[in-house]
Amino acid sequence: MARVVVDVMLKPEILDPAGQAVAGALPRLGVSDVSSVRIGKRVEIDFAGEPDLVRAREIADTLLANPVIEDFTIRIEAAAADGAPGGRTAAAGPVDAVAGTDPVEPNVTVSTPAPLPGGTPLVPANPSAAPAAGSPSAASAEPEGEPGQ
Amino acid sequence: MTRIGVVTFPGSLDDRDALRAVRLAGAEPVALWHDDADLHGVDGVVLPGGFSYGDYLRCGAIARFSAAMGSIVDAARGGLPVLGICNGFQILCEAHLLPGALTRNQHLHFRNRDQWLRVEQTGTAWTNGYQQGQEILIPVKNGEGCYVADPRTLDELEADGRVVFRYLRGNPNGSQRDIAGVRNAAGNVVGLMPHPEHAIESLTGPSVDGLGMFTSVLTHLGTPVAAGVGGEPGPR
Repeated sequence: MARVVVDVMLKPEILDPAGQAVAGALPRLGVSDVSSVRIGKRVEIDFAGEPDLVRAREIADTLLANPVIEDFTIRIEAAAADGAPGGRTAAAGPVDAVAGTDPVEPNVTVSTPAPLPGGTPLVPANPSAAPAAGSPSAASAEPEGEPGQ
Repeated sequence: MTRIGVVTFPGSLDDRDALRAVRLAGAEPVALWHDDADLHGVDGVVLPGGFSYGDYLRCGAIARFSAAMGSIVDAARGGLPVLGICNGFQILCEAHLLPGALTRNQHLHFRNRDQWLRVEQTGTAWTNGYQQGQEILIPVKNGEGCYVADPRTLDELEADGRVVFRYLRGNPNGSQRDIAGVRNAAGNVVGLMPHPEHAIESLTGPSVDGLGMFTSVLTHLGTPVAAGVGGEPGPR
């Protein structure tokens, strides 16, 4: 299985009232140091054979994102079946946010946090760098910005 | 008799009302099916309100790729009059027949009320029966009706007289520049968020102001409109 992940986000200049509503709710959790929340969509496309970035880009450009209001990025996510430990992206909070440092199978949600190596930040500074930390062979995570209309 | 088609998508809600509006305006309503690329020789098309294909992904994003829309996009470029109402407007924007996009209402609430509009443009296939600047009362009901486009596009729309309807006395969804409806350059394609098909009879609507859109297209197509039908402001 070959998975391509497309992240679709509203363009920065487009108002995101849903994100604002979430940001407005955070003080109720006692969180007061968040200045902005924006909500997007993550789309996982599983190809039967080799991941096809060109096709995925077409899909994203014509259907998944509306270039008038949205930008998207595309990346290949390493498959569970190939045994590579890397290629995961943060999917289940702090545990998966240190993808590549714990030994569980990729794409398996772990409910019991594994002990973290000393000094490991809970949230990587750059989430897209997480796959590379575990496996240099993980496919390229080059984001592709879309030009606006 | 002039034939006006109304496309039913899975999830369309207002297709029956639109067919009824077409009939009351004096045309022959033709039910079109989303999965049928054959437009059955209609002289105009209405894309009705609702939640086509569940509005998954984005409103209108999947409907745009339906068989019927493929034919309608081609025909619209050739001059076929097309009116998109609410979800139909969203589909027309997704299909790039109209500029801009419709996004989540700024206040996040679904808005359902009678809405005053000003007719800004009478030079279209769907508004020639109104007076320039006429104020009309038509129901609005949407959750994602906030019209957005980049400032350059908005300026062009204003300069070219392509803003067809503007919200009056309160903007129900945060649309930029109070835009409720726009047209394409040729004027045969018009989209608006409010629902003219719900304002065609005094028994059920806040006015009969909506009927003018369905009679305008008959005038545009060269069909005489029966006296006393549409165009004029009705009882409030």
